[in-house]
Amino acid sequence: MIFPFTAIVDQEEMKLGLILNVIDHSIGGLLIMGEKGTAKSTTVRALADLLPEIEIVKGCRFNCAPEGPFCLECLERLEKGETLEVEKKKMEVVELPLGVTEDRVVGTIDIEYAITYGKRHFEPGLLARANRNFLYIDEVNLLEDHIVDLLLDSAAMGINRVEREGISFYHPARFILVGSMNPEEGELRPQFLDRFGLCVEVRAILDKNLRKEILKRKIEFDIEPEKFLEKWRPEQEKLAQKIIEAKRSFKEVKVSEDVYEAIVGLTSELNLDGHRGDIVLLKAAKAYAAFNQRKEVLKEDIKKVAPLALRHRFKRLPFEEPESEVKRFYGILSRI
Amino acid sequence: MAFFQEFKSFFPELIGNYHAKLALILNLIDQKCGGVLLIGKRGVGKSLLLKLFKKFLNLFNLSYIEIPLNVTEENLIGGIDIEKTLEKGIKVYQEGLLEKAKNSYVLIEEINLLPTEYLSLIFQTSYNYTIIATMNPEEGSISPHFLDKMGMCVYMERIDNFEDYSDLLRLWGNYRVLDEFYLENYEKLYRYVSFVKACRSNIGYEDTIWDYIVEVCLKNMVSTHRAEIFLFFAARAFAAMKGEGMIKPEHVNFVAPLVLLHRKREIEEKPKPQNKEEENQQNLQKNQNLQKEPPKNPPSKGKDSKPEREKEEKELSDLKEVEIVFPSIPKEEVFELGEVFKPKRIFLRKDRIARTTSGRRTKSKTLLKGGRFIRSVMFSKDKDVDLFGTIKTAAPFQKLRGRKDKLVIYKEDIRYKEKENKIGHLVVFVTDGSGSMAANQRMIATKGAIMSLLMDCYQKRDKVAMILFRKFKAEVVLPPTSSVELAHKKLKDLPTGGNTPLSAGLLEAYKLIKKYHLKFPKDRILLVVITDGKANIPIKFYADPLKEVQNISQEIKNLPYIETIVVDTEVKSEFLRMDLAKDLAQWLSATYIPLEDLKAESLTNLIIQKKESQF
Repeated sequence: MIFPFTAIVDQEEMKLGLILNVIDHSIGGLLIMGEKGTAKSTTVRALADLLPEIEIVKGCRFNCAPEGPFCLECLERLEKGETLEVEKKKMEVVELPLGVTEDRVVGTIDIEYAITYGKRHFEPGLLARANRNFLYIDEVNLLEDHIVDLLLDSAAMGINRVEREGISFYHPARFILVGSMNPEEGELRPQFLDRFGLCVEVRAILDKNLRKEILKRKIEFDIEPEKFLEKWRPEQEKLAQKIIEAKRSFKEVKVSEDVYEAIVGLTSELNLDGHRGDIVLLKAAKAYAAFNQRKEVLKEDIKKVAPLALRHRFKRLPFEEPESEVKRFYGILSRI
Repeated sequence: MAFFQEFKSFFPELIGNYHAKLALILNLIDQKCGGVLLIGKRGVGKSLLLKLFKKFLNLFNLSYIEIPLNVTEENLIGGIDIEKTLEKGIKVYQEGLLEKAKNSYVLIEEINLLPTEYLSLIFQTSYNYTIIATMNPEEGSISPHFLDKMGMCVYMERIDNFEDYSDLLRLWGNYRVLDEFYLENYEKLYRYVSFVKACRSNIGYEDTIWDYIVEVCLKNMVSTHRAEIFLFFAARAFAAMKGEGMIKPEHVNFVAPLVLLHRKREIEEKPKPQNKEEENQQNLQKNQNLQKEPPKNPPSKGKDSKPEREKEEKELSDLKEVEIVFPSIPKEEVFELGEVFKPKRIFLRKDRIARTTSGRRTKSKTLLKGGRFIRSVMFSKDKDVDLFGTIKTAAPFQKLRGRKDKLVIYKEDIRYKEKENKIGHLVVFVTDGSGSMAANQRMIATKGAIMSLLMDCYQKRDKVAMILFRKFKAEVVLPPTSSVELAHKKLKDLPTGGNTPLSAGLLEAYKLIKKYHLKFPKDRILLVVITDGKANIPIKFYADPLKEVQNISQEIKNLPYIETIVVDTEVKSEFLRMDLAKDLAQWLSATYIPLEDLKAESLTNLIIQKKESQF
């Protein structure tokens, strides 16, 4: 049984970051930087639980969407002239443990099949399971380098291409990458850091009343989960509906010249490397506008999502305190 | 404390340690209490208590699993059953230990010695089971991230109460078989636990108890939200034990130390990895006193009274200092150890050499049997066959080769394992013992810093060697050894005074490393030079000392598998700072760290880029 998303107290930024990613998958994931015990993984699981079932090609081992892109197996079936049936499946959070091996991540040869039929056949790995789901990596900064490389590759392409053990295979791997890390335990490679679309910082709440509320709800849930879920159902359904509608409409959200200029002005003044920051910022702002049932991006939207989209892209020399840059950032932001 | 009297009869083989027993019983009553971590030095009864707990579980058929240190990933999370797979030729899955553990107790001895990757697997699903673990802080710690997922934590200390101690001797004086005695006590405990367990969900609570729990947590500087949740369940179980119908503030107070101890911000530092903690504390106070007052005469060894040459650096240092220090401080002194702290993590880049040593500092390809499997390869020097990889390769050809009941495996199918393991290093300390180190009690801080690094070396299973240079020569005070104990002793008696023959010190290090490499040619070396860089005595007469240092640095730089750190001991607030150590660091292509920055507090970890040597 999973704690309801709407019952999670505060941590609004983290929730928003996740929701925006659900609305527009191409935003590119969320990095959660924060202390232990701040409901990081609970929130991710809760959101996956809240969301409606997704439609997949029936029997596909890679969760292919009925409208594509397809894996090699589905393509073969299409070529043969088969019509692909559709089934519904709950979204899940696929967790990538720290000690994971390459085999487990990308998939490998299916031994059983090979022995009985004498043919090479692909056995899906975690990336296949993660397709169109959440891929959650706890303590992403401690992940081993060779695994990080694999993830970078498929996260960028949206495809998992396997060339090993005599197998040649590819399948779509579009997942919402959610990483959590405690910066005190070590840094993340800048290259990997930049791949995360959004980044939020979470802190433990120190307000007494909020903490009390957290404790109360959690204990209530632990003791009588069914009753608790029932109590929160209306809220849950309301939010789910809001997200579904935003998902449907975010592509039609209009962006005025003013807003484009505001974005470019902001990023050029911050002197960021590359263009990913601008693009992510625009996508996030559109998703946010859609989430608030608007048809147009306002400057307010930029202000709201800019910290999430740009926070981890500031240029900073090693050993330099990030404080000054953050101050400057908020200064620029307030002038928009 | 009267309450604890009952505890004498619970787990009676262990005297005292009521808090630890209480924590275990609370977890027996309610698994939502989140498990217990027993922390303590060797011989305080951690493992005994764990064994007794196991005895209890065994006696009453409660389910549990044990995770031994030699566990492998396949066993932990489940994987392919090699035996059956080979036999049947189809894939047979085996359930992992962690899956089996659902809703039961997981016992782990020396949890801190498990590799981080495994801990991450274990704690990923820790809400499914209750972990009871032991750990000795002298052997290293576990990440606070994991620590936070443990419900309770108890520091076990040795008994110093005379009465209890004699009880202990009486008890263990006649040898007993653990499994067969005191069964009636265990039955009593079982009945007690079952009774309380039945009551616990009927315990009520008032709204004010929420406020109280939150207040307690905030007052103790605990920020994680898990604290309150575990505290609630612990307090509830405790209220049930007391036979009361309501959770009261005193119940919360009573169990709060168990839940909050390891979550306080500063608590991670508490179990100082020091053998003589108290002594150290006293030293610390002494040092602080010393720093406040003008320096008195510390005990001197005074074997050597030969007048020293005038020291350039003395002239350069603050005049006022010189006036006070010069007449009263003898030429040679032995300083106390300074404050010991947790040093920054020192990471070294992985290289591509396979090694046979083991340790805990840097990852390296390994030729040992252990180690984490990375991938299967076709060629390998050592013959560690990757069974699974071999089957995988052979599998597609089975039909072609006409397999009947057994797998047909040809020679070319065989795959080997490439593994990775953490290795230790030889850490060579080259320490400046010259008179300039005596100024401003600099040696105290320096010794503290070296001690801190030594503790780190011990936890990472490094070997250490120490070279001291002062007066006119350098000597190896400690040849390469894995005994950090010995290093500690040597360090304590390290004398100070005289000139700075830096070049001699470096030459000695060079010779030592050369010699060491003859025996262990692939071992990685970490050279730590601790000095202010003010070289003033050459090896050859009338040579330029700095020029010599430069030349030897060049040689050292070219040694294989070497990384260097220069720890600058110069007082940076001093008016006339020279920053000579910076030049030295450049000559050695070393990482430069001022003494003050060595502490772990600054978050940026020190990363040394492995310069690609000739490989």
